[in-house]
Amino acid sequence: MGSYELYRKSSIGMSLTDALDELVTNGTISPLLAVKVLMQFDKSMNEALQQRVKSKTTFKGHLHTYRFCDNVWTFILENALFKTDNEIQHVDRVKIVACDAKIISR
Amino acid sequence: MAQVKGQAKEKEPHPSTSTVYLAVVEDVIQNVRADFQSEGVDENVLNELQALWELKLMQAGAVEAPVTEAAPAAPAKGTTGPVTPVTDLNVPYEATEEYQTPTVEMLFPPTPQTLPPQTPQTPFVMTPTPQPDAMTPQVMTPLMDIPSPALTSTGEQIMYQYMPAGPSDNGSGGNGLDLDTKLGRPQPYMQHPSPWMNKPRGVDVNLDMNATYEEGQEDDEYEQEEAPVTKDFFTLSTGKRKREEIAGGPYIQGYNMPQTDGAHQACPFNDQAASYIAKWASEKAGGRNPVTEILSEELAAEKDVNVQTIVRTSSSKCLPQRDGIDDDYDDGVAEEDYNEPGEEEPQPANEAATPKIAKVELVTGDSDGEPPLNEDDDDDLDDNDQGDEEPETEHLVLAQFEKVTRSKNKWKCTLRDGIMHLHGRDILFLKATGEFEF
Repeated sequence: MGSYELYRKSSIGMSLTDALDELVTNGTISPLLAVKVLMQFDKSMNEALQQRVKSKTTFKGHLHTYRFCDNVWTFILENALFKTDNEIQHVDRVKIVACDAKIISR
Repeated sequence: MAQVKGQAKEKEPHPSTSTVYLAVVEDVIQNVRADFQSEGVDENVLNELQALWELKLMQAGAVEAPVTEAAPAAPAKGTTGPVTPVTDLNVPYEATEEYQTPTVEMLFPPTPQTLPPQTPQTPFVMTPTPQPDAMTPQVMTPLMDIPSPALTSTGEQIMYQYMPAGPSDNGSGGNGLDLDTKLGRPQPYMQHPSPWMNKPRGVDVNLDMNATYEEGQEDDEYEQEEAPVTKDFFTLSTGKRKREEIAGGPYIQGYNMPQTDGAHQACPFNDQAASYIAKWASEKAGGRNPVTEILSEELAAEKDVNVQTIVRTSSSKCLPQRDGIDDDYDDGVAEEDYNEPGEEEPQPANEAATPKIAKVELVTGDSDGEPPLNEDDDDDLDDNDQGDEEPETEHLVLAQFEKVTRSKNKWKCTLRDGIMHLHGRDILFLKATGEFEF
């Protein structure tokens, strides 16, 4: 089962990357081990999103830019509204990066 | 609250973002333990990793309550956050700030590596200096008056030679680069760029160039080099100024450029001598002063437009602007045509040079006029770029798409397994549907 590295860009992924960078920089762990940790994070994060998250969201906005490259959709929405179960958030501009859900076998 | 959260992780049917994150952290740590052991890494390191990770998560505001007690800011957030997802709304402000700082730090440190290439240049620059010194004293001694002090101080000489050299080469802009090219390369290469580039300062530079190289390559190069330069700058003057013109009184006006540079002492004694004097005077005056003087004179003599352009270029940053100009024009015209043919061609060089000046003006004018246009264009591009960049730091959605459809300008998409980072706060979703028009 494959898992996307996409979520490394999230705050939790960046936090992990930062932490690993520190440990690799001061020689505590090897870069290879850091990569293994990141790969495990990819797997765990993908699983967690599939299994632990139940909420649904709808969003609207003005599509400023769209791009489909290497099976990755990139949208930039302006004046976007995100509606979740109990809240509505407005953002001036948001970037959406989406990999193909079908490529990863579930 | 943190404890509550920790307990709540697995139990809650609709876990909050922080609980999911903490579960991911735990899952990763547990699954990586074998790898750590196989590499012989101490278990404490794994705990350190977990602590670091969670700390950074809390600093980023992604996790609201500290499971470990490390985070100071967490408690306020933690109270609201863990119980219900609604509480998450309160968090964002502090979280965003904290979150941004680490990301910025992370991103930038790797990028600033551009500087190193310049440093190696400096040593090259230093090496050339001794040569010019050796050259100059011979010439200078007869002239004596003003130049002598400059000569004595080797350090100053080096500096001045630096200055002229930079503009001549075209530059890449750096003084060191110019010197390097001079020393390493045959003179013809040097000469070519100099005439085009030197217009305002070019005379000084050329003189310097000649002085350094004179021993090896004497008269021919002088004439070739200087002539195009003078013409370019002084539209009035003709190619072979130095020897003929300098010797003769009438040429003084056209020759003013070099003399003014030498202004302190520059009077036409001998062709070479005059050039040297000019060099030294320029050196004494400092690289910049002669330029301004020259510019002022040119302004009086020539038309406003040319002068303005030159002044602008010189005033702002002489080297970079010239470089840009030279780069454009050197490729086609300068090098082979002027240097190789010898004296005869300088005249065409003059002709060519003047139009080039006009071009330069155009370029500068365009630059003045265009920047708004270019800026606008850039702004548009920047907007796109910023759009790419800003959302990453501000509002970003990472997900997987199941379906994306479009009819005319109406778009619909269904996403799943997403992480939304909005207003500094992370929100997870299993599914999301979006509708937007282009």
